[in-house]
Amino acid sequence: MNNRIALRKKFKKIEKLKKTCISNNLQDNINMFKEIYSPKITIGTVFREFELSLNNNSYRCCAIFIEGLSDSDSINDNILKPLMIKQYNFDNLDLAQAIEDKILLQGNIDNKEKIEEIVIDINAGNCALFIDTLSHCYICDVKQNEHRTISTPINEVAIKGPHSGFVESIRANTALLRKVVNDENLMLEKIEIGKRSNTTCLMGYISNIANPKIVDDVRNRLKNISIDYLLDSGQLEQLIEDHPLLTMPQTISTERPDKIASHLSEGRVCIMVDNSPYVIVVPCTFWDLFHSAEDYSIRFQHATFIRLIRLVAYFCSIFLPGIYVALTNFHVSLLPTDLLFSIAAIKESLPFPLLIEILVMEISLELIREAGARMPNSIGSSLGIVGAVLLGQASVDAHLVSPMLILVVAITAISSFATPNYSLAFTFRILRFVYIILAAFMGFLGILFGAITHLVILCSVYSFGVPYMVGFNRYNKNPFTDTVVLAPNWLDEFRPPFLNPLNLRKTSHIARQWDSNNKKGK
Amino acid sequence: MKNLYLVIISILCLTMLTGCTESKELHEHAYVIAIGIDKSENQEDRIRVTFEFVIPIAFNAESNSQVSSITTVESTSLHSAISLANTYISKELNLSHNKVLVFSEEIAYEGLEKYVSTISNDKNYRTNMYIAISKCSAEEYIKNTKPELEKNPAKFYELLFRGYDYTSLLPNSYFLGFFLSTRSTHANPIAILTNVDTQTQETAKAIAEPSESLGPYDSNITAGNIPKEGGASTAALGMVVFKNGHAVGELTGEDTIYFQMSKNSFEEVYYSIYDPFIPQNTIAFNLSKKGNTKIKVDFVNNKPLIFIEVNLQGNIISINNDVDYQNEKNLEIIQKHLEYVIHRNLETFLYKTSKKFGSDICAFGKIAAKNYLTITEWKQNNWLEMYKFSYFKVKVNVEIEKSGLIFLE
Repeated sequence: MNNRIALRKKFKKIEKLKKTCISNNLQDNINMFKEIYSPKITIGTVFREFELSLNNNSYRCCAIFIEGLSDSDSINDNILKPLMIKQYNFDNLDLAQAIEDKILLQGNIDNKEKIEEIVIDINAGNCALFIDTLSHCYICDVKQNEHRTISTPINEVAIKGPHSGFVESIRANTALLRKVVNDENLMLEKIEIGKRSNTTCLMGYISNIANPKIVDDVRNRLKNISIDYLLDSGQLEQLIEDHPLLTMPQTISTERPDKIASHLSEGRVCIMVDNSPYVIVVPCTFWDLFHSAEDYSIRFQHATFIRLIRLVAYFCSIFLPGIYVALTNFHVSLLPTDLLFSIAAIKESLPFPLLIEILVMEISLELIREAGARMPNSIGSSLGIVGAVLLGQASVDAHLVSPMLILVVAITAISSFATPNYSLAFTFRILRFVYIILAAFMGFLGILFGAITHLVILCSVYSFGVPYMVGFNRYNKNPFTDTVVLAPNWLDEFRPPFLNPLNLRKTSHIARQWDSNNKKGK
Repeated sequence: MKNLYLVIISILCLTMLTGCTESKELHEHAYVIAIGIDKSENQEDRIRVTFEFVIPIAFNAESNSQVSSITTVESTSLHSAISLANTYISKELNLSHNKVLVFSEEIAYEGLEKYVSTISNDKNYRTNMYIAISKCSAEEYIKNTKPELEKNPAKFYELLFRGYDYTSLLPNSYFLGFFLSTRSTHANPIAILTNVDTQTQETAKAIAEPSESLGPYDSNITAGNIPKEGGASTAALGMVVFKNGHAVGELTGEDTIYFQMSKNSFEEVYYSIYDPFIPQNTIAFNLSKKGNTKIKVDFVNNKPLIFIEVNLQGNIISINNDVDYQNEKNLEIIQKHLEYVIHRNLETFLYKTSKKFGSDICAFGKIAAKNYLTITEWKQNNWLEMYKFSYFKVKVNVEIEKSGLIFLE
């Protein structure tokens, strides 16, 4: 018990210490930081002490950095070498000026006095250089910028369109984004979230397009998050969205720079989180989750066709099992007679009621999917065989479920895979069970009740001031632009009006100006 | 939180109050596909109800086991018959897939109104089941119906009674239309005529009386008199005319063609006439609809005068080597003759409906109603009674395509 109290006292003291500024006595400073980092207990923090000769005086120096996070080559070449090897004589310069102007070879340096800030920098991988008699220290940006090589986005595949995806390093991500957007108006504001982790987040927007109210709103929310550790953008999503209890995703989360660029160009705001390859885009509407990255890279007729198919997939993945239950348990008169008789003939030998049958099959499907997601790839394929052969074929042979049901469950599963947004697919998977239960109790009445309730809830939802179900761009001549039907991009003249961007028009009235007839598209 | 409670309470209300009482696994029903209603032989006030229901497991069995079962119950009403039948059929009778409602001729002439209005109040029936009148008893008809091409008898009924699409020899008579016509002020209902076919070629010849038709009388018969051998033992041909809820007479298959023409529901038929050049030969046409039938109703001396203009298209499909059907003059003669035959037969049919039956089965009332300003005026004049004083002016336009023959040098 005493130990706990002592420890707590010690940490409180350190917290207090962090609020203060450093002194001009090097040994004091070193002791202070040794107390913070406790190098006797844990390894990693390097306290490299050395001497600098200047104007015939020698000053004790200390470089503090974290092994592995900092680039040791740049520390050796740019900091230690120039400071240690030579003897300098600059009569007209004082110590601080000489170091800044003449000696330190590091490109990005900063003067800092507050211990709190210095600690954050050291944690981030920078090197803090303390020099005796100076009451500030130099922060040299020597972060090691190692990251996974930029590769195709694994979870958002597009056949046509660019093939680079974000990685875990925020520096690489900003470079990728800047390369795609290529606009000096792209603002990337740095906001640190996490009282302990101080995770770097960047809020990106195009300053002369994005609605300042939305930008302010996002900034306000990001700055007012009180959390110890922020580890991933998925965590941040939940911290900033308007309705955290809703199952529907309320932010767009993507690992494709091209998708982020297209959203930014519409006037939306993106949020990058360090160490996360997924970037968040807000505001988000229902129809944004309906679109895939590929839609804008292919011809508009093809995109519209795919979207119609996707609409069917959405419908099936939510309602199909529920409809099957309602049809067979309540509304047999709606089934074609031949189908009815063939189902009835099979059902004759099945022991369980339909509700149990369908729940068993749906739950085992979820099991297969969950197992498949957690399995290493090499075992994954054999899991598929077990799932398909054992569960499908054997359960029919064992007279546990009817083949018709297997068909329904299979179509539902395929439809669910066709949903482009991973988070939305999750929502549908949960909702499907709700609709099965509703259908089992009340038939189509129940499904209708659920659907209307669901729709009313969705219509009352806002995402960063934008109604969630907003969809139609009334400025465009084609009212269906970019919901289900995708208009050709020379007809899609305006940015989404619900975002109220600073600059509404995005395409000239005549986009195809080479066309001598000057008639759009003809 | 308050909203969440509200949602939970409303879900509970819906589940508890509506309940799953209606929920039933679909194999726990016995699906009736045909219902027959006859008069009881002994007691006046009782009826005999015949149910045909399928045995689904027999569909999957490889053997030729029976796929449907037929049972007959005697009771005072249709619904008590259902209850009685459920005492010995293990599964609840489900009427939602009933395909046909067969009444015996006896009941039809007595009046169908009470059965039809009872059934219309019951949501368990399909509104698109067919209404058929059997010349034999309904029980006999259902028992003798043995599908040859289908395993599923429901499919048999569905396809057989849909024959009006391509033969025009039987009318389209489904329950909702029949029910609405019995209540209507501008039309009278009709039903399909069915019978067990027992005639051989010899006996049929004796029955076929010479009628008013100018054609070769092929289809100028009703079900039960088809000169045939083999095939299914029951048939649907011709129709029964109703007035005030009870049957008043029957019309032959050929009459049904004219019925479809005047009702504007005619699609196509094979139609033959005697050859105007060689009278012992017949020429067969494939008659089809060219345009809508134009109908106008006027009143002369308070009697309806009905103008009908029928527009048809005919392709010659029979070949007679002696006559050049490609010759325009010959074609014109044939066309004139065909128009004349159809004209005469149509006129005979229309006067039969008005003078003989006094029943507006072709729904001319719909057009006649345009002559009245208010619905009270229309109801006062009682069109259905007035119809028997109708006169008709018929015009038939047939266009004969030149290239009717495929293999001709």
